[in-house]
Formats: sequence, C-alpha cells, structure tokens
Amino acid sequence: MSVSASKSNHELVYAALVVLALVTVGASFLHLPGNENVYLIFGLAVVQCLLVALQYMGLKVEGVMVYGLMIIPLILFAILVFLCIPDISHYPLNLKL
Amino acid sequence: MDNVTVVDHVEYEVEDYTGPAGTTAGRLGVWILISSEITIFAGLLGSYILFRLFHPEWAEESSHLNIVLGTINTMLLLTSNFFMMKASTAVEQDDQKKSAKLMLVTVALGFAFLVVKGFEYAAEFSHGEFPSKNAFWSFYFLLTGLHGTHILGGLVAITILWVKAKKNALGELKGRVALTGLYWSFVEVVWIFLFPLLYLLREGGAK
Amino acid sequence: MSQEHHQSFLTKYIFATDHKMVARQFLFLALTMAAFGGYYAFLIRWELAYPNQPAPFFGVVTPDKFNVIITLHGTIMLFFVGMPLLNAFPSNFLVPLMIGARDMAFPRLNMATFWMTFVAAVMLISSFFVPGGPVAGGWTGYAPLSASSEYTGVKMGMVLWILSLALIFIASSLGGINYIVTVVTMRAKGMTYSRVPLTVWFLLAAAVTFFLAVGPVLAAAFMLLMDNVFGTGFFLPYKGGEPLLWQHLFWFFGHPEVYVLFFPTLGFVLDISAVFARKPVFGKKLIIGSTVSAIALSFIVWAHHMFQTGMNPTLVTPFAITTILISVPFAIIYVCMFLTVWGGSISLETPMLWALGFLATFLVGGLTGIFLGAAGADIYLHGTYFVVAHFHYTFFPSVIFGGFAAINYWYPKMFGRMLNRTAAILHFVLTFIFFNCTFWPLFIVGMGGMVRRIADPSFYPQYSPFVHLNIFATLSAMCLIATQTIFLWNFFYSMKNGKKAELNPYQANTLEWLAASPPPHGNWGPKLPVVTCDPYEYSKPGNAEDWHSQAPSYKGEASHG
Repeated sequence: MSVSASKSNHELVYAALVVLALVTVGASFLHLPGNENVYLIFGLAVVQCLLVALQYMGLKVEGVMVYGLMIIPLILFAILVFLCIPDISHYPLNLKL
Repeated sequence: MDNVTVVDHVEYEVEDYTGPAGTTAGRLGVWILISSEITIFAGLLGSYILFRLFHPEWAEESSHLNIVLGTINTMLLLTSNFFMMKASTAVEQDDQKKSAKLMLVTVALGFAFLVVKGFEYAAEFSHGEFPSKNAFWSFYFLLTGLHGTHILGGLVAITILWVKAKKNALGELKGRVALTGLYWSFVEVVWIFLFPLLYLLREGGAK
Repeated sequence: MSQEHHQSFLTKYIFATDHKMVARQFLFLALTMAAFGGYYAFLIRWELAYPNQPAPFFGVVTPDKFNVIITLHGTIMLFFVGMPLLNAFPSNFLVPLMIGARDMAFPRLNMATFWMTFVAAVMLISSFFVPGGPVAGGWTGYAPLSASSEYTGVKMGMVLWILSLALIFIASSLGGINYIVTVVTMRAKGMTYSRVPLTVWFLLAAAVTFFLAVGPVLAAAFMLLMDNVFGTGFFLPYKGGEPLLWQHLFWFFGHPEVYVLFFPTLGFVLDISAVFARKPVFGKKLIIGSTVSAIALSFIVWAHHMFQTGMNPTLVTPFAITTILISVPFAIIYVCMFLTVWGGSISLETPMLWALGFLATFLVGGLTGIFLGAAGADIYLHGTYFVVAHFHYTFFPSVIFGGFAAINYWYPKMFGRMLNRTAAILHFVLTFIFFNCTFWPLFIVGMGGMVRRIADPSFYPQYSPFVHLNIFATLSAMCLIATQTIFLWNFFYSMKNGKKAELNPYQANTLEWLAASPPPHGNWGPKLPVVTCDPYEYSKPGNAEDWHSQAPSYKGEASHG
C-alpha cells in the first residue's frame, strides 16, 4: 500500500486541515439564526474527516470491502440515533423531583 | 516458488496474505478494527446527541470549556498525524533513521496533547466540575477520557516502533508503521468530531 | 509465517498460537463454564419447584441469592459458553482447515484473545469472593437497578461483571477480525468465495455481525461503570439520567448477538445434513442471500425487547413490523435446511441426529418468537415464562444441539479417535427428551401468567395451579443435567481409548478431512491443497462415488516420497 506517489499531498492536506480547523473554531463565534451554526460546524467537520480518511488513511485507493467497512457503521449510527430520538429525546421522564 | 518457507530442509508452500485491491492482511485487520471502533464511538456520541437534544441548557455548560486549549490540542493532534504520515513514507523509502526522527516528533506532540488535556482536567476539577456534576460533564470526561486512552495506546505502539527504527532494526515490523499511522489517523478523526460536539456548540455562539 | 517445529510445553499447550490448540482451549473453557452455568440452572429450578427448601450442594436459595444466580446463569451461558463454544472454538479449529490455510492470519492475536477470555472468566467467578458478593442485576443489567449499588448492595461485583463483559467483548471482536481476515486473504488456490463451505460462511456472518453490533454495548458498559464508580447519572433518573438509554444501547447489541449465537449452528447443520443425506445443500445462494438480509434486519428490530418498558408508543409498531419481517429470511433458511434433508439417503449417525434434533426443536423456538414479536400479544407474554421457554427453545438448539453436533462430527478430526457410538446416541436421545420435558411446561405456565425472575412462586396464590408443572420441569432439568455426564465421560474416555479414526470417516467433501487426524502444526504437507470444485458435490450423476473431495489432487504428508 504505497502512499509515496502522493508524498507532496501530505503537506497540502495538512495545510487544508489547519485552515479548516481554525475556520471551524471561528464559525462557532458567529451568531447565525436557528440551527445554521450547527450545520455549518458539522459540515466543516465532515470535510475535515473526509480529507483525513481519503488522503491520509488512503481510503481513496482501497476497494469496495473497505468502503463498506467505513460506511456501514455510519449507517448503524444513524439508525441508532434516529430510532431513539422519539424515545430518549422527545419522551423524557416526567418526574417532579 | 515465491511463497515458500523451509523447515528441516523441506520446502513448505505458504499463503500470500493479499486481499482485495492489494490490501494486505494486516491492513485489512486494522480497517476492520477501525470499523468496530467507529461503532463504539458512535454509541457514545449517539448517546451524547440524544441527551443534548433535550438539554438545550448544555450550551451554557459547554462555554465553561477552555476553547483556547481545545484549539491548541486540535493543532497538536493534526500536526502529530502529519508527522506520522511522513514517517510512514520514510519507511517506504527505506530510510528508517529519518522515520525514527519523525516518529519521535509524533510521540512528542501526542504526549503534549495529553499534557494539555491534563491541565484542562485539573482546572475543571478546581472549579468543581467533576463527572458527577451533571450529565454534560459525565459525557465530557467519558468521551475525552476514552479518546485519551486511545491516544495513549497509540503512543505506546509508535514508541515501540521508534525504538526499533532508531537502530535500523524494524525488519518484519516495517509494515506496522503504516498500519499504526492508519490507526493514528482514526484517532484524529474521532477528535475532529469530538471537539465541535463538546467545545463549539456553546452559549455566546453556536447552540 | 513459519512452521516452528520445536515447541516447548509452554508454547505448545499454554501460550499456544496454533489455531487448533487455541480451539481446544476455548472448548475446555466453554465446557468448564457450562458446568457452572448448569449448576446455577439446577439451583434456579430447585427454588422454583421447592421454594425455601435447602437445595442439595448449596442451601436455601434466598431471593437475593436467586437474583445473583439468574444473573450469572444468563451471563455465563450466553457469553462464556455460547460464544466460546459456537464462535471461538469452531472458527479457530475449522476456518483455516476448511479454506486450506496453515493457520490464522494473526496467530499471536489468536492466543491473546483466548487469554483475555480466560481472564474475563476468572474476573466473573472472582466476584463471589469480593465484599458485597457477585452481580445481581440480571444478565441484561437493566438500569437503574444496575447503575447504583444502593439498589442491590453490590458494588465491586457489579464492577467486575462490567469489566469482565467488556473484556470478553473486546476479545471476541478481535477474534472475529482474525477469522474474517483469514478467510479474505488466505484461501487456498481455487477456493473462490462460492466454493467456501457454508460452515465458514456462517462463522464469518457471526463474526461480522458481532463486531458491528458490539460498539453501543461497550459504550453503555463504560457509562454504567461510571455510574457505579464515579457517581455519574447516565442511567439514574434522580440524577437526570435516562434508564431506557441503557436498554436501547444494550438491545441494539443484544439482538444481533442472539444471531451471532445462532449462525454457526446453521452452518454446522447444513454441512452435516449434506454429508449425512448425501445431497447438496438446497438453495445455497438463497441461504446466503437470506443470511445477509437477516443480518441487515437484525439491526432494526431491537426494541421488540422493550415493548413494555414505557418507551414512546410510536416506536412499537415499526419495531413490531421489522420483527415480523425478520422471520422471513430465517423461515427461508429453515425450509432450505429441511429440503436439504428431504429425499436424501439419510444415515443416522450421531451428528445427523443432533442436526435433526435442532430442526425439530428450533421450529418451536422460532414460531413462538412470532407471538412475542406481535406487540399486542407481548403485552401479556412479556416477562413471563413464555419468554423463558421461547429463548431456551432457540438458544438450547443453537448452542447445545449445534455445539454437540459440531463436537460429534469433528471429534475424529480433532482427536484422531471416534466417540463411543452407543454412549453418543444415548446422550442425544436423553438430552432431547429431557430438554423438551424441562422447557415445554414453561410455555404453559407462562401463558398462565407466571412471571420470571421471582424466587418463590408459592408466595403468589395465583400460581398454585402451576406447582406440578414446575416440579415436573425441575425433575426433568435435573435429569437433563445428569445426562451430560454421559457426554463428559465419552468425550474424555474416547480421547485415549476410542476407536482410531480413519482420515475421512464420513466421506465428506470439505478440505479439513484431507488433513491428518489430528492435523499437524501447519496443517498440510509441503504443498497446500488446490481446490477444484464446490463442497456439495454429493451423489452427482456421473461421479464414480457419491462424494467428491474439494481437492482431489492433494496427497499430503502420508504419501510424500
């Protein structure tokens, strides 16, 4: 598994990640209305994640099996959270303590 | 015959350990491990999100976290990851001594991450912010604690490889540098999500 | 990868990296823990039939002791017997042999997983000797009972239970990685995926399901640990926590886990059926497709364990629908198993008896699951002995019948000797009879309303009609446990004194039968087997024999030179 072909790539990716991280921190100081802030910050996080995964981790050159290994847990995460929201997040115990 | 091992003067045919798309057995193993680890952090982060959705007041708690130290930690880990990638490339180019130096920097930066985290914890304890204070702090300490444990494990592995590479004695372990780099990048990815979830959704900014 | 010929006692038997020795270690661990689990089963049944009377070899089973015993019975039988016996032992022994490899992809990791499992078992048993005693929160560890020692009086025992489970889950996950990587990267030449035997497919399916499902429960375990040790409130309502979150996370894992404990048996029974009916497996592609869809569905059915918990009622219908849906792939697989046997020239050797016994008993378990999946019926049946009977009619056929089928079938390959046939058949017949006599009455008392997890039924006048059924079940259970001594005697006696086994006593096609009995370190001779056909060519028209080895050209060390 050779990453030497993309050697110069490492510096570029690093620079991009640093910039994105600083932008994300900056975005958290904005006062966008509603939930836009959350979407913006998460969008930036996803981009950083993709950069690390595709470039540093070499996901770009891997086969279907490895892509499947990465995507399936994310699907399971989505299932767990979305199916529990009606119960845990919107049906909390009504205890008068 | 390519894949052969000789025992007692007899040649024994051996498997070639290659998987799909040229992935080696070791690399596939680490990918599956990462897949499983994603589900663990998914369980934890999912639980945090589920709680957070009905605790909007956590935005206030989150603003007690030190965003400066958090950003510094993000940079430390990013840079550490970068040096690990360079170390990996150096091993591929058969330059073990260079890779040893790069791995040393990786370990130093990773260790610095843990030190900064330690300072943060100490400051939080001194403000009475313990895991038992409320659920936000429980999640904060559990998430960062588990992530820190993964960093520690990675540091141990990289240190062992550094010791061998320093003496040009990696031998069969050469492939392990790239594999450890793969794991290290995964630890980075977890932090890429942990940091915004805990530090950046706070009062006086994002909700 | 090398064949170390010079192994000391330590590296051969204790810190073994050879997959066959690791398999034996897991088997012995499973059998030892089964003794504990069976002992607890005896105590449970004793208390239910003869409440408050001193049980032989124990004393009076008081309610708090009862809670400990049911917790440990469940935990041990599922995780320390089920997983080692059905996943670790067969995967370790069979996977490299059946795909024509010399060992696992990561032999030292393999050794580590055994020792981690061993340590986990020791931790669990050691919880008897700590202040406060062993865990008493039920094997499902429902919060808030399990989240704070103020409810059960147990603290260290709970911590040990959580850590022990976390350790065995991590070990099993790492083991699964080993099996998967081995099959993906180390198949012999000519062994395409479509020529891999179903036993290996199902062991893989179990490994994949496990490592995908285990994450949330590990997350929950850490949270429960913090609740117990650091006073956090993840699952404690008075600290702002949410007890149902534990259940969601636990069952998100728990449901796929029951399939992890079920898939290997499907593989064994299919392969054994093909061999002893001299017929190819019916609908192999259909079976594999159904397995994949069952795995996918298994991740969206979990809340059927939670219909009565007070969770949001909106969730009940979707989960009831998915639960009914998941019965479809399993029904397809079951019908294919049945049709594999139908019309074959069946020889009733012991492995085949266990396979047929599985088909008979699992049908009951599977069908009664539909009653429980229908949320309306579940209102009445949840928490009663109907559930207990249902899961014993699924687990017992999987773990015990399937486990014995595998042991009986592969014993000649493992130890080079045949088991005593009379004893083995007697063991099967008595186990089958006593198993049904023990658990069938539980359906009846469950429908009659008797609830589970109570120590003293005589305390409740409405259960007085069930006294005789409970006593009958207890006597049958004691006979069932006693019957297992026949197996233990047979297993150990035949190791040294059984009839010497030929290479391929059942004339089966799969690769493992080509290796010596038992296979040497490195499994094969100088040349690895080269596979030229499907494993299910039994009674193929045009073939000289009614079987056809997958690697007919393999000679092995026997005819070397």
